[in-house]
Parts: sequence; structure tokens; C-alpha cells
Amino acid sequence: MPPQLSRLMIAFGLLVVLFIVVRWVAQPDSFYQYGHYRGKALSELASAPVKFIPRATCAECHEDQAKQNAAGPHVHISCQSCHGPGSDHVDNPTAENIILPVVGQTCVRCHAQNAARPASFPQIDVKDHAGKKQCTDCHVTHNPQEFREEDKKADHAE
Amino acid sequence: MPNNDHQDLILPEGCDTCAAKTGSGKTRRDFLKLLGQATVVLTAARFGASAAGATETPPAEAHVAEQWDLHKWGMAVDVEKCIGCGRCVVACKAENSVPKEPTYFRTWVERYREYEDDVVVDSPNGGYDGFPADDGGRTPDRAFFVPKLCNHCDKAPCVQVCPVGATFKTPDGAVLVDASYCIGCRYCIQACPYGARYLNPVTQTADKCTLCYHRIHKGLKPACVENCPTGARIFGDLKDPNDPLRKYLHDHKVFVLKQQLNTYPKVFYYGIDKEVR
Repeated sequence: MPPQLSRLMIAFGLLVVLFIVVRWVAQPDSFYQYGHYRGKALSELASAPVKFIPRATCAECHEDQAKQNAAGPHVHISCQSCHGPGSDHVDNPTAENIILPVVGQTCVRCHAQNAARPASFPQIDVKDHAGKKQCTDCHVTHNPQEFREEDKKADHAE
Repeated sequence: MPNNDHQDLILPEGCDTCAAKTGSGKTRRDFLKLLGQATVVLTAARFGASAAGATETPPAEAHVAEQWDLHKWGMAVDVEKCIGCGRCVVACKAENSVPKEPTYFRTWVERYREYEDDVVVDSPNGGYDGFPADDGGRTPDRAFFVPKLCNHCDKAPCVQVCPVGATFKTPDGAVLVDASYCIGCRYCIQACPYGARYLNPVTQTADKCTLCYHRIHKGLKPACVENCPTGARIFGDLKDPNDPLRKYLHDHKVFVLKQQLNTYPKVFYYGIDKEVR
């Protein structure tokens, strides 16, 4: 074999070895464990912390509100849907790390008249329905189909 | 004679144009030596890293191969129940630390208003702040909200184009992004026909809905499903014949978005019109 050819083959062989080494160094251990990706990424992504805690946890401390809520039409709505994620609040219950919703904005977010809402969904024309009153002036906060005692016989709108 | 031929092939020293020399004045021999040294160093580094890893990581924390193919996750969206309150958008951003600014959404809500002669589609801030009632004095013939998210396609274009294997389909059907492996080339963002991806401005990696992978593997529902007040989103396991999602898909005439693209989405819509894209 001519020496220039053998030298070329040695150089080529060296490059192949280097490629294999670089690949071996650069490729994470769990690559191709399940497919063309890092297998460890699955458990890493699955182990991220949860911010919206299970619903039943809220009722452990806030019994009255949970009871009110359970008796009304909002029973299927998660507390955290209005109050925001509760993971911090469970670790350290203060008023700062949970959302206390602004009453007027929270109710109309769902119940203001909007043509795109399903016709069967209860909607109100806010000005016509409430005037200058707040929703919770008449409605019980966590069970809005109940009305506050003093307002039961009063005229609804101003 | 062959030796003489060989002698003829040796080029004179100091030749500027000869192939044996590189532009920097280094010989091929030097380059080959460098390759050899690099091989040795890399091998040593690898052995060093694995030795250090073995001592630092206790075996209990080492990656344990779990069974990831027990489920096949999917979602149904009942458009006739959606009230466009945007609680799903708010919940998603809170749960997954999605940037608060507009244009970054893992899920968002669109409003379709069909008039006699045209269709108006809007999504102010993705529905994060709800929808204004204003119809400009016109009453639409039909109007409805369509929550959107990653469709977790069975044949996902984003997975196909990723050059490094950072986007992948898990054995249980979710399409995820390995942020530690993503190089931020944005190719997947262009490839997604549903516009479900964005480049996270903090990490500079591609980001998208994970079906709340960290929640569903703890037995919880995704944050958007958990916080939907009307139950417009139904999440479940397509492999389980007794799952409510399977029953829902059986009982309702559902559609997928952009069916003609053959991406085989695992997010199913009930009650949408042909205008929905």
C-alpha cells in the first residue's frame, strides 16, 4: 500500500475515534432511553412543584366558607379559581399570599352580559341589575343564590 | 523504485501553497497530534465526570426508569360551555410561571363573532382580563369562545423539526420541551400550525403547554381544567375505557383543529364552526 494512502487511512481512523469520543462525552446518559430525547427530562418535568393545591385542602381551615359554597350553585368551582394559587398560603397562611378578589370585578367576569356566552348561562346587565350597589351587598359571597337577611325584602336595584 | 516515487512526492520546505500546510503555518502533523490529544483529554474528562457523579449523587436520587406509557393523555373542549371568563389563562400563567406580558401564552381564549357578512375573531390579551361585551351596536348571528392550547399532536411537526431532540413526544402522549437541552433556535415555533409555542424571554428556550405534566403525574388535573368554573375542559386518559373523557368523546361529535394537516391532535373540540382555525 502506498504510504500516502496508509497515512490518510490512519488520519481518517483517528477522526472516527474522535467523533465517537465527542459523541460519547456530549450525549447525556439517558438519551435514547425512550426515544430521540433525554429520558431524564420526563422525571424532571414531572417533579416540578404544584401551585394550585387540591380543592379539599382549603376546607380544612375555611370550614364556614366551604359549607356556604357547597350549598350553592358555585359548588363545582375551585376556591383557587377566584382566590389564586394556594400553595404558598398553605405553607404559611397570611392574607398577603392569597388573592382576596375585588368583589365588583370578580362576579361580572363571568356574569356580565356578553353575546358570546351560552344563552343558558345566567348573565346580567350590570347597570340595570345592581345600580350602584355591590354584588355582595345583597348576595351571600360564597353562595350567591342566597340573599343577605336585611336585603331579602328590599328592592333589588336602587 | 516505490521509495523514489515517494521521495518525489515530498514537497519542499517553505512552500506556501502546498496542501501539507495550513494557513496558520501549522503542519498536518501538528493538527493530527492535536486530534490525538483532544481524544485523550475528552476521554479523561468523561471518566472524571462519571467518577465525580458517582460519588456526589447517592444511588437513591439516581434516575429510575419509570413506566411512562401507562396512560395516553388527551383533552376535550366543550365550546358550548365556555363563558370566556379567562380563568384558565390566569391559572395557567400562575401555575407554569408564564410571563405576564401579552403574547406569551400556553393557553388562551379566542372569541368568534359571526355576522351576516363577516366573522370577527378577537382575543384581547389572550382572554387574561376577560372579554368586553361591546359588539359595536351589531348583534352577531352566532358568537362563542374557543379556548386554545397545544394540541399535543400524535404526529407533531415541532418534534420533527427540532435539531437537537429537545422537543419530544412522551410515551404517554404529551409533547414536551426539555428546556435544559433546547438551543432556542425557534424552528419549532415556526413549525407549529396552531401557534401554540413561544420563546420564553427569561430562559430563551421554546416553551408551551405541557398538559401540566407535573400535576397529572401527581394525580391532579391540569391547572386550566381545575380552575374552569363551567367544566368546559375535560381532561382524561384515552387509554382507560372507563375514563370520563372517553365517554365524552363517545357521546359527542367532536372535531380537531386543522385536520387536513394530519397532525392527529389529542385536543378535541365540541361545538365549533367551520370558521375556527
